[in-house]
Amino acid sequence: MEFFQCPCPQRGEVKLDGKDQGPNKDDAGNLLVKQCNRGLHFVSLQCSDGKECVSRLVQITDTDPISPLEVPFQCET
Amino acid sequence: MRNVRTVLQRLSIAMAVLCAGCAHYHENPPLGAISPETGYRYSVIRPAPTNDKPFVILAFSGGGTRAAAFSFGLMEELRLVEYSAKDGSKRRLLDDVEIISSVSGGSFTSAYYALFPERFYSEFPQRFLYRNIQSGLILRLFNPYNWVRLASPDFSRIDMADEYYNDTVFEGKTFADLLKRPQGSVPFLVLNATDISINHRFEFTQDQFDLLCSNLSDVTVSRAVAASSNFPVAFAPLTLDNYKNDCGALPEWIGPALDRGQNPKRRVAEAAAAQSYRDPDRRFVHLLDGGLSDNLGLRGPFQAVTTTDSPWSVLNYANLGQLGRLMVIAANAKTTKQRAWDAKSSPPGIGAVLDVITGGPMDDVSFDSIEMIDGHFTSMKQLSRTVDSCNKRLAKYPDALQITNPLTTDFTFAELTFDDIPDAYLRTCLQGLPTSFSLSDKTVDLLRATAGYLLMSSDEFVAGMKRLDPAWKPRQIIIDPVLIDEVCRALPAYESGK
Repeated sequence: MEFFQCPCPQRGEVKLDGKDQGPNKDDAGNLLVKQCNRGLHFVSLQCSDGKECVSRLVQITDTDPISPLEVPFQCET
Repeated sequence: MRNVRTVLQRLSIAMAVLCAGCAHYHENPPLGAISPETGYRYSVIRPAPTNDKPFVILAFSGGGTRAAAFSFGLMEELRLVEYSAKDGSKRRLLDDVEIISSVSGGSFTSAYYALFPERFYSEFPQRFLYRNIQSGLILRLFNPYNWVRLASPDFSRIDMADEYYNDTVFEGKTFADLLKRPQGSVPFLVLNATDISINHRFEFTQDQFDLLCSNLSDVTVSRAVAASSNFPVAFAPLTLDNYKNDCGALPEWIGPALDRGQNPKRRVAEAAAAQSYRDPDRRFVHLLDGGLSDNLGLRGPFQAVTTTDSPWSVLNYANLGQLGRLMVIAANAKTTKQRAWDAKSSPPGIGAVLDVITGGPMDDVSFDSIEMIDGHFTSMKQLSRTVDSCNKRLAKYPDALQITNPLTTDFTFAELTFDDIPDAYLRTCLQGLPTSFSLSDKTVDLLRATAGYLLMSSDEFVAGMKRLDPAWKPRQIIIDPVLIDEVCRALPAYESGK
């Protein structure tokens, strides 16, 4: 099992290979850790407030729940 | 007179050829465009899961009527399992079953339950378990009308078996009938066969049929069950049409997963298998028994629990915070054949060798499936404990931040197998049962009772239930010794086991 999170100044919905994985942050603003299988994935963040979603091809491997891979996003107008 | 006879003979031959030409059986229609909101998919059949109740997956193995009766016994016992929910109300664990994944003989039980849940317990035993299905199939084979049809290259023994199951068990119901039921009223049914061209699991879901640009809705459930129980040699492969119209793109995960340098081999193989249906030369799909790729029905659930690639990924629901408790229960009706070959120098005959060739790989794959899912659950629990241990140590330092544990799902995996019966007499007896579509009534009774007994004596299941409801207690089940003796004394394994 692999672990990743999507830091971003805004809150948004994490998409993995086109599938919804829930919000990137909880209500208190803490980053949420997501799980996935090892390998190459399309990760994107659908930012709220009409901000643009950016998709990235990322290899997710050799992670653990304590140190998940950070896939940072910057929501653009 | 001689002329008349010749004319009649020629007419008969012409009719036979015509009939054979008419006998055509690729009944999976094309699909115009892929629509994730329609068709027989998990997300259409079931409402989104919630954290407040367990997510239960059942897996029914192959093994003819033995497997069907054993899985039916599990369903009977599950109906009686009640627990106190968080709001204090009583719930049946059976109502928490989200998915039933099955193979071969187990597919008769799962399909009947999904189609007719209201009369499943009252009708299925007489409709299938206590019926001599084997004789029914043989009788159809001796019908001259079927000889003519079997002469056609597009109609084979498995198509005849499909018709028989359709007429006698499944009442002509299709996947469209399953879709007509209210959402959430029955579990999502995953009937597994094996695509022999790529030696890969093939499931009768719309997600799989999307790859073929075909509409599963108009396919009969009997056809899926026939494919799932299409035992090699006894039947010919079942054929589906693989359409080449442009119905829509492949799922998004497949593209990146095909990169051999950046993915595990299993993921690449899964992606390559899915993509192969779009190859120009794959115009048909040939299916045999699901047991050839997964005789427990566990590979699909394993894929769903461990990846986000699965079309009915359970891991997705963990990420969405909707998976508080996952319970996988496998009814494994595997037998252990006693071979006496090594006592003699003469080699086993062709029948015995065929038995090994067809059954051996199934047993190996099953063992691997159990190890994989059990190993995954163990590993997830260890990871979760590691985070908790870290936090305990960090708590000693007032300035240190705690790590949020993302692994909040409670995992339970219970395998019901004859191997776990403590009584050697009963264990050896059940391990020696044949794989056929005809068992004595008493044998069926014994298998039903054994499934309930094994569930209630499963340490893993009992522990999982106690974590769900600390006040829950397993039902004490004693299998009638008279019944055991009646069944087992008639079996060859009796002497060695006793």
